[in-house]
Amino acid sequence: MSRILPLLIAFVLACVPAGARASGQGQDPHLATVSDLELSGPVAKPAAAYLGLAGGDAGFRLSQIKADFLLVEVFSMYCPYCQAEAKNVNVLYGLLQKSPAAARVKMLGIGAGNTPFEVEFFRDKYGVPFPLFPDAEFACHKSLNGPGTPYFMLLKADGAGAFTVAYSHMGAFGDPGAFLDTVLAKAGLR
Amino acid sequence: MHRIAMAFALLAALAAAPAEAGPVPPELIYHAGDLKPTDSVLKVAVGQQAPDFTLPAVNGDHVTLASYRGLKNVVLSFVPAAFTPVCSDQWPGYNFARDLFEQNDAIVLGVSADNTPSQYAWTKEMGGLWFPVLSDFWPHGAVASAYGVLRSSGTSERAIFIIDKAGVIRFIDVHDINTRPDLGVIVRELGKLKP
Repeated sequence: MSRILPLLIAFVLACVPAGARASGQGQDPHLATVSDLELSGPVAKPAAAYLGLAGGDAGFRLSQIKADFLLVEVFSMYCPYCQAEAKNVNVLYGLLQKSPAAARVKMLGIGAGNTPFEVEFFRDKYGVPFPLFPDAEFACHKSLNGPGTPYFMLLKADGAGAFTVAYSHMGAFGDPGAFLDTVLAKAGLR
Repeated sequence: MHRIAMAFALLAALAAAPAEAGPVPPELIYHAGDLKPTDSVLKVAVGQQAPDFTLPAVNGDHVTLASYRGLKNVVLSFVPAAFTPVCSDQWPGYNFARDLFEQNDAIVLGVSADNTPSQYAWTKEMGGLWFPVLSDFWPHGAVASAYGVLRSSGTSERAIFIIDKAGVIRFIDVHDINTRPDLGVIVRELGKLKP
Protein backbone atom coordinates (compact mmCIF):
# COMPACT_ATOMS: atom_id res chain seq x y z
CA MET A 1 0.00 0.00 0.00
CA SER A 2 2.90 2.34 0.77
CA ARG A 3 3.97 2.05 -2.84
CA ILE A 4 0.48 2.69 -4.17
CA LEU A 5 -0.18 5.82 -2.11
CA PRO A 6 2.20 8.11 -4.05
CA LEU A 7 0.69 6.82 -7.29
CA LEU A 8 -2.81 7.53 -6.01
CA ILE A 9 -1.76 11.06 -5.08
CA ALA A 10 -0.15 11.52 -8.50
CA PHE A 11 -3.34 10.32 -10.13
CA VAL A 12 -5.51 12.79 -8.23
CA LEU A 13 -3.11 15.68 -8.92
CA ALA A 14 -2.97 14.79 -12.59
CA CYS A 15 -6.76 14.80 -12.80
CA VAL A 16 -7.16 18.28 -11.30
CA PRO A 17 -5.54 20.30 -14.08
CA ALA A 18 -7.22 18.13 -16.71
CA GLY A 19 -10.60 19.06 -15.29
CA ALA A 20 -9.65 22.68 -14.76
CA ARG A 21 -8.77 22.96 -18.43
CA ALA A 22 -12.19 21.84 -19.64
CA SER A 23 -12.92 25.28 -21.04
CA GLY A 24 -11.17 28.34 -22.45
CA GLN A 25 -10.31 31.54 -20.61
CA GLY A 26 -13.12 32.84 -18.42
CA GLN A 27 -15.28 31.77 -15.52
CA ASP A 28 -18.82 30.46 -15.23
CA PRO A 29 -20.86 33.63 -14.54
CA HIS A 30 -23.74 31.64 -12.98
CA LEU A 31 -26.28 34.08 -14.37
CA ALA A 32 -29.88 33.89 -13.18
CA THR A 33 -31.22 35.88 -16.12
CA VAL A 34 -30.06 36.90 -19.57
CA SER A 35 -31.11 39.98 -21.48
CA ASP A 36 -32.68 39.81 -24.92
CA LEU A 37 -29.41 39.42 -26.85
CA GLU A 38 -29.19 40.85 -30.35
CA LEU A 39 -27.52 38.59 -32.88
CA SER A 40 -26.23 39.69 -36.24
CA GLY A 41 -27.41 38.41 -39.59
CA PRO A 42 -27.56 37.23 -42.21
CA VAL A 43 -29.93 34.43 -41.22
CA ALA A 44 -29.78 31.65 -43.78
CA LYS A 45 -33.04 30.05 -44.92
CA PRO A 46 -32.58 26.75 -43.06
CA ALA A 47 -31.73 28.62 -39.86
CA ALA A 48 -34.68 30.95 -40.33
CA ALA A 49 -37.03 28.01 -40.87
CA TYR A 50 -35.71 26.20 -37.78
CA LEU A 51 -35.85 29.23 -35.51
CA GLY A 52 -39.09 30.66 -36.89
CA LEU A 53 -37.44 33.87 -38.10
CA ALA A 54 -38.02 35.94 -41.21
CA GLY A 55 -34.46 35.38 -42.42
CA GLY A 56 -32.46 37.72 -44.63
CA ASP A 57 -29.57 40.03 -43.87
CA ALA A 58 -30.99 41.67 -40.77
CA GLY A 59 -30.10 40.63 -37.27
CA PHE A 60 -32.61 39.51 -34.68
CA ARG A 61 -33.21 39.22 -30.98
CA LEU A 62 -33.46 36.00 -29.03
CA SER A 63 -37.06 36.84 -28.14
CA GLN A 64 -38.02 36.59 -31.81
CA ILE A 65 -37.20 32.89 -31.90
CA LYS A 66 -40.28 30.69 -31.81
CA ALA A 67 -39.51 28.31 -28.97
CA ASP A 68 -40.29 27.80 -25.30
CA PHE A 69 -36.64 27.15 -24.47
CA LEU A 70 -33.35 28.00 -26.13
CA LEU A 71 -30.25 25.87 -25.70
CA VAL A 72 -27.40 28.25 -26.48
CA GLU A 73 -23.77 27.28 -26.93
CA VAL A 74 -21.24 30.10 -26.58
CA PHE A 75 -18.16 28.93 -28.46
CA SER A 76 -15.13 30.21 -30.32
CA MET A 77 -13.45 28.96 -33.45
CA TYR A 78 -10.17 29.68 -31.65
CA CYS A 79 -11.05 27.57 -28.60
CA PRO A 80 -9.57 24.05 -28.81
CA TYR A 81 -12.06 22.80 -26.23
CA CYS A 82 -14.90 23.96 -28.48
CA GLN A 83 -13.21 22.21 -31.39
CA ALA A 84 -12.86 19.02 -29.36
CA GLU A 85 -16.50 19.18 -28.24
CA ALA A 86 -17.97 20.03 -31.67
CA LYS A 87 -18.81 16.45 -32.65
CA ASN A 88 -20.49 15.84 -29.29
CA VAL A 89 -22.54 18.99 -29.70
CA ASN A 90 -23.65 17.81 -33.14
CA VAL A 91 -24.75 14.51 -31.59
CA LEU A 92 -26.61 16.42 -28.88
CA TYR A 93 -28.51 18.36 -31.55
CA GLY A 94 -29.35 15.13 -33.39
CA LEU A 95 -30.72 13.59 -30.21
CA LEU A 96 -32.72 16.71 -29.42
CA GLN A 97 -34.23 16.68 -32.90
CA LYS A 98 -35.33 13.08 -32.43
CA SER A 99 -36.87 13.77 -29.04
CA PRO A 100 -40.48 14.85 -28.40
CA ALA A 101 -39.08 18.14 -27.11
CA ALA A 102 -37.67 19.18 -30.50
CA ALA A 103 -40.39 21.71 -31.23
CA ARG A 104 -40.12 23.33 -27.82
CA VAL A 105 -36.33 23.52 -27.43
CA LYS A 106 -34.28 25.17 -30.18
CA MET A 107 -30.51 25.19 -30.32
CA LEU A 108 -28.12 27.85 -31.56
CA GLY A 109 -24.48 28.83 -31.19
CA ILE A 110 -22.87 32.22 -30.61
CA GLY A 111 -19.25 32.61 -31.78
CA ALA A 112 -17.64 34.81 -29.14
CA GLY A 113 -15.20 37.18 -30.82
CA ASN A 114 -15.64 35.33 -34.10
CA THR A 115 -16.21 37.06 -37.41
CA PRO A 116 -18.72 35.68 -39.94
CA PHE A 117 -15.84 34.00 -41.79
CA GLU A 118 -14.57 32.32 -38.62
CA VAL A 119 -18.04 31.07 -37.70
CA GLU A 120 -18.56 29.67 -41.21
CA PHE A 121 -15.14 28.02 -41.15
CA PHE A 122 -16.02 26.34 -37.84
CA ARG A 123 -19.42 25.25 -39.22
CA ASP A 124 -17.88 23.80 -42.38
CA LYS A 125 -15.04 22.08 -40.56
CA TYR A 126 -17.37 20.19 -38.23
CA GLY A 127 -20.56 20.07 -40.31
CA VAL A 128 -22.50 21.85 -37.57
CA PRO A 129 -26.20 21.26 -38.34
CA PHE A 130 -27.74 23.94 -36.09
CA PRO A 131 -27.59 27.73 -36.54
CA LEU A 132 -24.40 29.57 -35.56
CA PHE A 133 -24.07 33.34 -35.36
CA PRO A 134 -21.02 35.61 -35.09
CA ASP A 135 -20.38 37.85 -32.10
CA ALA A 136 -17.35 39.59 -33.58
CA GLU A 137 -17.17 42.44 -31.08
CA PHE A 138 -17.88 40.21 -28.04
CA ALA A 139 -21.13 42.13 -27.42
CA CYS A 140 -23.12 39.04 -26.43
CA HIS A 141 -20.13 37.52 -24.63
CA LYS A 142 -19.71 40.67 -22.52
CA SER A 143 -23.43 40.76 -21.83
CA LEU A 144 -23.07 37.23 -20.43
CA ASN A 145 -20.17 38.34 -18.19
CA GLY A 146 -17.55 36.63 -20.34
CA PRO A 147 -17.98 32.92 -19.72
CA GLY A 148 -15.26 30.42 -20.62
CA THR A 149 -16.01 28.42 -23.73
CA PRO A 150 -17.76 26.23 -24.59
CA TYR A 151 -20.61 27.46 -22.42
CA PHE A 152 -24.10 26.03 -22.58
CA MET A 153 -27.23 27.80 -21.34
CA LEU A 154 -30.82 26.64 -21.25
CA LEU A 155 -32.92 29.79 -21.46
CA LYS A 156 -36.62 30.15 -20.75
CA ALA A 157 -38.38 33.22 -22.12
CA ASP A 158 -40.15 35.24 -19.47
CA GLY A 159 -42.43 36.85 -22.04
CA ALA A 160 -41.14 40.34 -21.31
CA GLY A 161 -37.99 40.27 -23.45
CA ALA A 162 -35.71 38.64 -20.91
CA PHE A 163 -34.78 35.04 -20.17
CA THR A 164 -34.37 32.94 -17.09
CA VAL A 165 -31.33 30.68 -17.05
CA ALA A 166 -32.84 27.31 -16.27
CA TYR A 167 -29.48 25.56 -16.47
CA SER A 168 -25.91 26.33 -17.46
CA HIS A 169 -22.76 24.30 -17.96
CA MET A 170 -19.23 25.40 -18.79
CA GLY A 171 -16.81 23.11 -20.61
CA ALA A 172 -17.17 19.67 -22.13
CA PHE A 173 -20.39 17.90 -21.11
CA GLY A 174 -19.40 14.28 -21.64
CA ASP A 175 -22.12 11.95 -22.85
CA PRO A 176 -24.56 13.85 -25.13
CA GLY A 177 -27.52 11.63 -24.18
CA ALA A 178 -26.99 12.16 -20.47
CA PHE A 179 -26.53 15.89 -21.02
CA LEU A 180 -29.76 16.10 -23.02
CA ASP A 181 -31.55 14.24 -20.23
CA THR A 182 -30.28 16.85 -17.77
CA VAL A 183 -31.29 19.72 -20.02
CA LEU A 184 -34.79 18.37 -20.59
CA ALA A 185 -35.21 17.65 -16.89
CA LYS A 186 -34.23 21.24 -16.07
CA ALA A 187 -36.75 22.40 -18.65
CA GLY A 188 -39.43 20.26 -17.02
CA LEU A 189 -39.81 18.28 -20.21
CA ARG A 190 -38.76 14.91 -18.79
CA MET B 1 -0.89 -5.23 -6.08
CA HIS B 2 1.70 -4.31 -8.70
CA ARG B 3 -1.00 -4.42 -11.40
CA ILE B 4 -3.20 -2.04 -9.43
CA ALA B 5 -0.33 0.39 -9.07
CA MET B 6 0.41 0.18 -12.78
CA ALA B 7 -3.26 0.79 -13.59
CA PHE B 8 -3.31 3.93 -11.47
CA ALA B 9 -0.08 5.14 -13.06
CA LEU B 10 -1.55 4.59 -16.53
CA LEU B 11 -4.76 6.40 -15.62
CA ALA B 12 -2.75 9.28 -14.22
CA ALA B 13 -0.72 9.54 -17.39
CA LEU B 14 -3.87 9.48 -19.53
CA ALA B 15 -5.53 12.12 -17.38
CA ALA B 16 -2.52 14.39 -17.65
CA ALA B 17 -1.95 14.01 -21.39
CA PRO B 18 -3.65 16.63 -23.56
CA ALA B 19 -5.96 15.04 -26.12
CA GLU B 20 -4.89 17.64 -28.67
CA ALA B 21 -3.43 21.12 -28.88
CA GLY B 22 -5.00 23.12 -26.07
CA PRO B 23 -5.08 26.75 -25.07
CA VAL B 24 -2.80 28.11 -22.40
CA PRO B 25 -4.40 27.51 -18.96
CA PRO B 26 -6.18 30.63 -17.69
CA GLU B 27 -4.08 30.74 -14.52
CA LEU B 28 -0.93 31.22 -16.62
CA ILE B 29 -2.28 34.19 -18.58
CA TYR B 30 -1.09 37.69 -17.66
CA HIS B 31 -3.80 40.32 -18.14
CA ALA B 32 -2.34 43.72 -18.95
CA GLY B 33 -5.75 45.34 -19.39
CA ASP B 34 -6.79 47.45 -22.35
CA LEU B 35 -3.75 48.94 -24.08
CA LYS B 36 -3.33 51.79 -26.54
CA PRO B 37 -4.51 50.16 -29.80
CA THR B 38 -1.29 50.97 -31.72
CA ASP B 39 1.90 52.62 -30.56
CA SER B 40 4.41 52.74 -33.41
CA VAL B 41 5.05 54.24 -36.84
CA LEU B 42 5.10 51.87 -39.79
CA LYS B 43 8.37 51.88 -41.75
CA VAL B 44 7.33 49.72 -44.69
CA ALA B 45 4.52 49.86 -47.24
CA VAL B 46 2.62 47.54 -49.55
CA GLY B 47 4.61 47.06 -52.75
CA GLN B 48 8.01 47.33 -51.05
CA GLN B 49 10.49 44.49 -50.65
CA ALA B 50 10.08 43.05 -47.16
CA PRO B 51 13.14 43.66 -44.95
CA ASP B 52 15.00 40.39 -44.65
CA PHE B 53 15.89 38.87 -41.30
CA THR B 54 17.23 35.77 -39.64
CA LEU B 55 15.84 34.87 -36.22
CA PRO B 56 16.18 31.91 -33.85
CA ALA B 57 13.23 29.54 -33.74
CA VAL B 58 11.86 27.63 -30.79
CA ASN B 59 13.07 24.34 -32.27
CA GLY B 60 16.69 25.55 -32.29
CA ASP B 61 16.84 26.38 -36.01
CA HIS B 62 17.43 29.82 -37.45
CA VAL B 63 14.86 30.99 -39.97
CA THR B 64 15.63 33.46 -42.75
CA LEU B 65 12.72 35.19 -44.45
CA ALA B 66 14.46 35.13 -47.85
CA SER B 67 14.67 31.32 -47.69
CA TYR B 68 10.96 31.21 -48.63
CA ARG B 69 11.58 33.29 -51.77
CA GLY B 70 10.08 31.48 -54.78
CA LEU B 71 8.67 28.74 -52.52
CA LYS B 72 6.01 30.05 -50.16
CA ASN B 73 3.89 33.08 -49.47
CA VAL B 74 4.65 34.24 -45.94
CA VAL B 75 2.19 35.41 -43.31
CA LEU B 76 4.43 37.28 -40.90
CA SER B 77 2.47 37.41 -37.64
CA PHE B 78 3.87 39.70 -34.95
CA VAL B 79 2.26 39.28 -31.53
CA PRO B 80 3.01 41.38 -28.44
CA ALA B 81 3.93 38.87 -25.79
CA ALA B 82 3.84 35.29 -24.62
CA PHE B 83 1.29 34.30 -21.97
CA THR B 84 -1.07 37.18 -22.73
CA PRO B 85 -4.79 36.81 -23.51
CA VAL B 86 -5.29 37.48 -27.22
CA CYS B 87 -1.97 36.06 -28.39
CA SER B 88 -2.63 32.81 -26.55
CA ASP B 89 -5.53 31.91 -28.80
CA GLN B 90 -4.54 33.69 -32.01
CA TRP B 91 -1.77 31.26 -32.90
CA PRO B 92 -3.63 28.10 -31.80
CA GLY B 93 -6.36 29.37 -34.13
CA TYR B 94 -3.81 29.23 -36.94
CA ASN B 95 -3.29 25.57 -36.02
CA PHE B 96 -7.01 25.00 -36.54
CA ALA B 97 -6.87 26.87 -39.85
CA ARG B 98 -3.66 25.26 -41.10
CA ASP B 99 -5.33 23.91 -44.22
CA LEU B 100 -6.48 27.42 -45.18
CA PHE B 101 -2.87 28.62 -45.16
CA GLU B 102 -1.62 25.56 -47.00
CA GLN B 103 -4.33 25.84 -49.65
CA ASN B 104 -2.88 29.28 -50.35
CA ASP B 105 0.69 28.00 -50.48
CA ALA B 106 1.52 30.01 -47.37
CA ILE B 107 3.61 29.53 -44.26
CA VAL B 108 3.04 31.47 -41.05
CA LEU B 109 6.09 32.91 -39.30
CA GLY B 110 5.19 33.85 -35.74
CA VAL B 111 7.36 36.54 -34.16
CA SER B 112 7.45 38.12 -30.72
CA ALA B 113 10.13 39.99 -28.79
CA ASP B 114 10.14 37.34 -26.06
CA ASN B 115 13.22 35.24 -25.57
CA THR B 116 13.32 31.68 -26.82
CA PRO B 117 12.88 29.95 -23.43
CA SER B 118 9.66 31.89 -22.79
CA GLN B 119 8.38 31.11 -26.28
CA TYR B 120 9.30 27.47 -25.77
CA ALA B 121 7.27 27.20 -22.56
CA TRP B 122 4.37 29.12 -24.09
CA THR B 123 4.12 27.07 -27.26
CA LYS B 124 4.46 23.85 -25.24
CA GLU B 125 1.43 24.97 -23.22
CA MET B 126 -0.42 25.48 -26.51
CA GLY B 127 0.31 21.88 -27.44
CA GLY B 128 2.71 22.92 -30.21
CA LEU B 129 2.32 24.89 -33.41
CA TRP B 130 2.83 23.76 -36.99
CA PHE B 131 4.71 26.92 -38.00
CA PRO B 132 8.02 28.42 -36.81
CA VAL B 133 7.90 30.70 -33.78
CA LEU B 134 10.77 33.19 -33.88
CA SER B 135 12.39 35.24 -31.15
CA ASP B 136 13.05 38.92 -31.87
CA PHE B 137 14.57 39.29 -28.42
CA TRP B 138 18.13 40.37 -29.24
CA PRO B 139 19.01 42.89 -30.51
CA HIS B 140 15.77 43.66 -28.81
CA GLY B 141 12.87 44.00 -31.24
CA ALA B 142 15.21 44.68 -34.18
CA VAL B 143 12.93 43.06 -36.76
CA ALA B 144 9.81 44.68 -35.33
CA SER B 145 11.68 47.98 -35.45
CA ALA B 146 12.71 47.43 -39.09
CA TYR B 147 9.06 46.97 -40.02
CA GLY B 148 7.95 49.83 -37.75
CA VAL B 149 5.87 47.77 -35.35
CA LEU B 150 7.93 48.04 -32.15
CA ARG B 151 5.91 49.69 -29.40
CA SER B 152 7.40 52.08 -26.85
CA SER B 153 6.95 49.36 -24.21
CA GLY B 154 9.38 47.05 -26.04
CA THR B 155 6.77 44.61 -27.30
CA SER B 156 5.71 44.43 -30.91
CA GLU B 157 2.33 45.37 -32.26
CA ARG B 158 -0.19 42.71 -33.15
CA ALA B 159 0.50 42.93 -36.88
CA ILE B 160 0.13 40.87 -40.01
CA PHE B 161 2.35 41.29 -43.08
CA ILE B 162 1.61 39.13 -46.10
CA ILE B 163 4.69 38.71 -48.26
CA ASP B 164 4.51 37.06 -51.66
CA LYS B 165 6.95 34.61 -53.19
CA ALA B 166 8.94 37.47 -54.70
CA GLY B 167 9.50 38.87 -51.22
CA VAL B 168 7.18 41.83 -51.79
CA ILE B 169 4.82 43.03 -49.07
CA ARG B 170 1.28 42.64 -50.37
CA PHE B 171 -0.82 43.34 -47.26
CA ILE B 172 -0.32 45.05 -43.91
CA ASP B 173 -2.62 45.06 -40.89
CA VAL B 174 -1.24 46.74 -37.80
CA HIS B 175 -4.13 45.63 -35.69
CA ASP B 176 -5.60 46.95 -32.47
CA ILE B 177 -3.38 45.15 -29.95
CA ASN B 178 -6.43 44.27 -27.85
CA THR B 179 -8.22 42.26 -30.55
CA ARG B 180 -7.55 39.44 -32.99
CA PRO B 181 -7.11 40.04 -36.71
CA ASP B 182 -9.96 38.50 -38.73
CA LEU B 183 -8.85 35.20 -40.20
CA GLY B 184 -11.21 35.85 -43.11
CA VAL B 185 -9.29 38.96 -44.14
CA ILE B 186 -5.98 37.07 -44.09
CA VAL B 187 -7.40 34.25 -46.22
CA ARG B 188 -8.98 36.70 -48.64
CA GLU B 189 -5.68 38.56 -49.06
CA LEU B 190 -3.78 35.30 -49.57
CA GLY B 191 -6.31 34.38 -52.23
CA LYS B 192 -5.31 37.48 -54.18
CA LEU B 193 -1.78 36.10 -54.54
CA LYS B 194 -2.89 33.12 -56.59
CA PRO B 195 -1.59 33.31 -60.15
